Amino acid sequence: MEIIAKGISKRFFRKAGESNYFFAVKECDFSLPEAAVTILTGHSGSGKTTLLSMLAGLLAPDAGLVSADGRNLYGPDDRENSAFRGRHLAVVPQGRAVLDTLNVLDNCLLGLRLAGREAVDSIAKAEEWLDRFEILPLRSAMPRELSGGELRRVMLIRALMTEAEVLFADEPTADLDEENTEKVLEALQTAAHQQQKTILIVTHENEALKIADRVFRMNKGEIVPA
Amino acid sequence: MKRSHLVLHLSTAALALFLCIGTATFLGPCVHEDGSAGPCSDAGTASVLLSGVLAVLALLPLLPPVRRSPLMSVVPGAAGAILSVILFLVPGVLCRLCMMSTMHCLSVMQPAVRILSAALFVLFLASVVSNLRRRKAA
Amino acid sequence: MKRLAVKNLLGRPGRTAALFFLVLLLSLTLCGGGLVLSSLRTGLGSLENRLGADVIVMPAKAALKTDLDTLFLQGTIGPYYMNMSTVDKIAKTEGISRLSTQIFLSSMRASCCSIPIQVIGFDPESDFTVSSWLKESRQGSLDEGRLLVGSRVNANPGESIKLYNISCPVAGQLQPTGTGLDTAVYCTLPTIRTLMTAAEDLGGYSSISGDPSETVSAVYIKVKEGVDPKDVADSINVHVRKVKAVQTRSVITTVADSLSGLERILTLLIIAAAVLVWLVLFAAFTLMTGERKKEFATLRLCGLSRGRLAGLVFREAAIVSLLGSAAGVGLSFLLVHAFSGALGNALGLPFLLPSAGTAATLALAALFGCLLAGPLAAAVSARKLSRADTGLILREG
Repeated sequence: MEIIAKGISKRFFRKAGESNYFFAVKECDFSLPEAAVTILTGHSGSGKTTLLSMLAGLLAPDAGLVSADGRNLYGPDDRENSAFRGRHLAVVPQGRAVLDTLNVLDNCLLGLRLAGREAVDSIAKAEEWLDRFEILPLRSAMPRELSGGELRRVMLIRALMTEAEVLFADEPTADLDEENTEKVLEALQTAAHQQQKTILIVTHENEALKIADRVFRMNKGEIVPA
Repeated sequence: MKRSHLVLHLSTAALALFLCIGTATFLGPCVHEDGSAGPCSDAGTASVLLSGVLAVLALLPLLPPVRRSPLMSVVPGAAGAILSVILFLVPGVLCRLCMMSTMHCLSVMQPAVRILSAALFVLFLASVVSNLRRRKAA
Repeated sequence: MKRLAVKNLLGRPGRTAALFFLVLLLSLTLCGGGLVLSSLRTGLGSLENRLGADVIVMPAKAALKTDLDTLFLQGTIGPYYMNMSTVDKIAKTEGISRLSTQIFLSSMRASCCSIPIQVIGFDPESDFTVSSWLKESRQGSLDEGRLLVGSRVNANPGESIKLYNISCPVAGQLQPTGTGLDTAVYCTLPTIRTLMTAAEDLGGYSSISGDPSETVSAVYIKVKEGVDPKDVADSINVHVRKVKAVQTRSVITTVADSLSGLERILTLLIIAAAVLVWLVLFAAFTLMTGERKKEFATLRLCGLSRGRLAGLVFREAAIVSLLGSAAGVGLSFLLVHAFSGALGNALGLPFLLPSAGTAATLALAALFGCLLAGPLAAAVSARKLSRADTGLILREG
């Protein structure tokens, strides 16, 4: 599935100098091709996360259009947009995004369950992923008992479990040690190349660049060549 | 000790203590205008004593020697549950009350003792169940 | 989704308990308040039914010393008697359809008696006030020496009550009326006269002058159709000396007046308390919204639509409301039923629990009201939440 953004902009209120607003993303044209890992780097506050959110259908742009295989991600019907997002797009956000009332295994299966796509072998698959990322013993633990790195792996497994065609990951290797960083990057690369997934990674870390098919850099809300 | 256990034991003790003080004062038996005790005074005395014992039983599992043994901590809860049933039966069944339903012992003391002793029974039972689970886990 | 709502509630026991307690309080206020109001209305209705007579005549002395308006809430008029010759004079008054006499005797709480109690003696032949009630209560015949006890007298059929050293077997117990009549015992005129003689022997009733068999406490009058009870009462007051005739209508009107005053205050209090609790519930849901922003953003990014998210919040609110209101309704029934005696005493008005049908209607109304209250309190926050931009919430960190 190909994601295409045309002329998208997003501005936020911030009183600085003469203007009351600043552009987090400014008239940006961008596309994510199928079966490739695209990496977006840049300084903090350069607009990477805002762009990722807009491409993932989570933040409506002030101007421009975002489409997935020709379908507008911000159509008038929220139910249809959400169902499409749940089925085709998976997101690993930068911050903590898990349900504190569910244990690790239930959190991993959350996306599948909400989309009504839980299968007989879903639990076994989730356990396989948990084992691969070395957190299987924590399957019944509650999120409050987990470290930052463990939580990040849970969010990644949740995204991978949905089997969505497009995967957005915002700093997926933050808080991870070298060994686990390796495993996560390998999983993302496999997903792109063997399962033909469209992958966008936003990161500061150079380690991630080695799995990139395309690398872009953001600067003051604009995309510049890396 | 888990916070929920502590809350359970403390709330049971507080309820039993309230009943003990209550039946000794405003929830107590009838007192005639001349100051003499009514036929329900035995029920009042028994209620005060039993609820006092229940308060102590509720606090026992908080003592370190009892707390350390999961089996030992079940005993006060079980005894409390049995005594709560006895307390329920004190006004009107085990001890006689006055003959007019408008009298204080029948209109206030009996319903108060019955409702609170039923609540105490549930709390003691919960304490037994939670301590048994703790024992199983240990 | 249903499982998620339940897991969310179980996963935050403190928050769930607080919401449950608030809804319980709301339902307790609505159902408990409604039950008290309904019991007062039922009590008034019962008083109307039980009075039966249009005019009551009693010794003038009794009228001076007793608050006639609360006569039947308190029980009887006390140790004041009139002679049978006075009854004959009363009977000659124009417009009387039926006339019956009753004798009241107050037992003392002393060695003579097991309970301090009002004893009411009536003549089953001429009676038209107590008899119909006795029939409703399906009691057997009242033989001499036996008693029927009011619903608030703690004695069962087969037991005996000792009055003035005479042990009287209890023949049956009457249906409750919510009035002072419930604390009295009933017997025939020969039985009460035996008790009066025994009382005199013990020095209990110095005010009984003359032959107890020639003495009565009150005369109950039913007027002929088309006759104004006021005319009959006025005529008796003018023509018969040393008695006071009162219309029962005035007794009921006075009770109804004080009841409507109390009803207004109680209704206002119930509404104020319910509104206050609902506002706290609303504030709790609003505060929770801020606290759960991240959780809802997570659900949105997993593909949950705004509608389904609002549905989840509603479902949680509905589950807590259902449990809280059911517990509140149960608790209010338990408390009002258990403390009905104390409530009646405290309010000083006829207090009788409503019929099962009325009680069930009240319970359903309270349940329905509280079931709506929770989701309604959550509606604003659910809408606000579902409108928030997921990307912005996640961007906030």
